[in-house]
Amino acid sequence: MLDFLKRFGLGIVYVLISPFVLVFLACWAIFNLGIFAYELIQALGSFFKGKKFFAEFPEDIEAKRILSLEPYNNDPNQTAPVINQTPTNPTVNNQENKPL
Amino acid sequence: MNFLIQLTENDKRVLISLGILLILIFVIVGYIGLIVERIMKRQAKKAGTMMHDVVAAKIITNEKDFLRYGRKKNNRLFMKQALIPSAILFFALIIYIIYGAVSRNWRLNLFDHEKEGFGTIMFLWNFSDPSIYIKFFGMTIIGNWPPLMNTPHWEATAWASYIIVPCLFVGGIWYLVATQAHIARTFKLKKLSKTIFNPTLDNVVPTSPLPMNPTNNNNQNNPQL
Repeated sequence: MLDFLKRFGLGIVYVLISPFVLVFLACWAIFNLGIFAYELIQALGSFFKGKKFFAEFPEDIEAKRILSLEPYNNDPNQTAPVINQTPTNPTVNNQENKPL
Repeated sequence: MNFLIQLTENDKRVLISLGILLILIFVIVGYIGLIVERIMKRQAKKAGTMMHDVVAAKIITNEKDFLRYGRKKNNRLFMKQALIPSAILFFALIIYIIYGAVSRNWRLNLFDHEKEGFGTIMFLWNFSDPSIYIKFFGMTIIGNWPPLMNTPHWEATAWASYIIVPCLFVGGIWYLVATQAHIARTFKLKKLSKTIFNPTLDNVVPTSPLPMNPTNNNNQNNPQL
């Protein structure tokens, strides 16, 4: 019953503010058409360059690489980073010591 | 109280039915608002999830970069979510063009109920009939069921409307839900950017001793590191 009354009260509030919310939503939706077109063109460009349609961002690739190279992140008992775990990849140390 | 006693039986019925109708409308709107609220909360959580890796890997270390990268990710996610509804809307446009080209009729009335619109397969009532309205304290309000104007029937010439109207409805609502999710994530990203990188005084006790640097402490205890 309390929930019913709460919904009733909120319903009145929503009806009163709905015109403003709808105008805001419509403006945002129109603005998003531009975003959609831009992203679609970028995705198509990426696809025709031989990459994935939804190509990953460089930051994502870098983050995945760093997180996969840091085994101490998964081991709470290990406090210090394991240095030179993969000696064939010289960039490991650079990432470990990357300035924040 | 005198005011209520003066009401006729018909007035009371109208008043009660109006009250019930209003309560029902407000409650339904309230529950629609609840659904919208839940969608927005769920989408706001996604904003945190999509930003987790870059922040955990310390690739992004300041508010400006966080917002810039967040905007890129948010726009990409919106494009993914809006791809299917946009395809549905595009399909509706193609059907409209085919219909216009075949029938040479570029003024298709999508909601017509006689010949070419979606209204042909809907129950329609005539709300413009003046006999269904009554006067109530000087106001003209609906007081009776309106007469049935159309019963569902198939019209071959309305085939395009049967495809276009559902596509517009489904695609439009879906696109608006994706837009709403985009709005929720945008606000959440702004909020996160303010809280993650800005130091706060909430947890600082001025009289407490400074915490020891764990790295230095480790090195003192274990000089070989």
